Amino acid sequence: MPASTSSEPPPAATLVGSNAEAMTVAGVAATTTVRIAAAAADIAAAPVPQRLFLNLENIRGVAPSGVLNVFVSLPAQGTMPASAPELVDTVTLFGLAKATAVDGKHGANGLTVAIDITELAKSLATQSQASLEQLQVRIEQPGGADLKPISVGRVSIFRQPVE
Amino acid sequence: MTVNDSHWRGWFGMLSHLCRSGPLPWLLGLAAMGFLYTALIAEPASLPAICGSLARMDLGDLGVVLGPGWPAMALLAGWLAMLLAMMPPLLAQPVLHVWWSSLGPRRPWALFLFGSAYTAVWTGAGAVLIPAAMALRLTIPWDAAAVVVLGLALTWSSSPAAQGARNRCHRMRRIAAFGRNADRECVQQGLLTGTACVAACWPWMLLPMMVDSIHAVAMAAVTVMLFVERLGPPALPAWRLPVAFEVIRSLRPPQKVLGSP
Repeated sequence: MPASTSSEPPPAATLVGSNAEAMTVAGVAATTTVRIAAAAADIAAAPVPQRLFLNLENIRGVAPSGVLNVFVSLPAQGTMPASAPELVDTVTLFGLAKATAVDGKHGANGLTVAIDITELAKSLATQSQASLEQLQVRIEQPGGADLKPISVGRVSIFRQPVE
Repeated sequence: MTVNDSHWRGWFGMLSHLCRSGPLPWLLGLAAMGFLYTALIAEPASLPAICGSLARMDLGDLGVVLGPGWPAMALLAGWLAMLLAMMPPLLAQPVLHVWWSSLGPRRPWALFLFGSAYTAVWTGAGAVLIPAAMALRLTIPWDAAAVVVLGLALTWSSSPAAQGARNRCHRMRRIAAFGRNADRECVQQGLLTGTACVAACWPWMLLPMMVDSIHAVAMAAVTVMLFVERLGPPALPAWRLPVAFEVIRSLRPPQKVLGSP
């Protein structure tokens, strides 16, 4: 979606869903299910065009930096099989240890990353011919088994009206 | 401008943002209600009046005084009024966190759970601090009690333990969007925030109970002190000047560098 300049502040983003528990990613990929509120699940029916963002919140780890590959797919629903995971972003986490430090300026809250998944969400909704009630998110650290674990406190979905 | 000064100016920027678009105005309104209630509690049932009356007794009379007619409910009401007056301004960041972490229809319930857990922690702390205040008023000459407690509070605020507690005040945990996980995590956030707050602020809460006639003024002064401390960024736990002194220092205009225009 092309950017546009404006003197107005951007419209507020609102939470529409999240996963149930924190997850830890080390040498093996971790998968979580993000549930979306029913009122927000039907993207196509929204009165105003919306952007959807996948937020990885409270990303914490002891390594100075890290990399996460983030995949999104539809879980199996009824007779519809699960869709193939699609890579939405590769996130680089510079300053991870500093953001995790209790006495650091992040207050031990780690890093938060927002990934625009608007187009993917639309294509998944079209593919499933239904509203998006759940998304499956798989996160992996590329590079082998000797990696220090990285925890992701919450995986959430935010919706923001397009100006 | 030093790195520390830039941190402080960043936090003042956040304060400005909280005033414009966050919960701080509402929390200040709650605090005003608490101050109003405290001002309206009739003597001799107010908390400082009860503590003050102890200071004018002999220890031998204490057993007679602490009988079945002991005004425990008045003490509890006074303590809760103090919390309502003094604590809300410190909660802007966690309240905003609970608000934005919750789905729209759940927000009032999420805030209720957070507030209840936070209040429960401070109520438990009151069960220790109120008797401690009474013991101080009984054992220290009444005109020196406030000075002694002020010295204790300033020493505590300078300590590594207090800095560690203030660091924990900045910790915002995950809050799920749905179901029992969401309820549980709102309560956990309230317990975490309350525990860190008690650890950072406990000696300051003794101070208003050491003065009688200017109790409300003491509460207001302590509230401002704690609010300024809360603005402070996380830092390495170490002995340092109280945070309020650093904030005042950071308000000075930046020093001009020789040779710069």
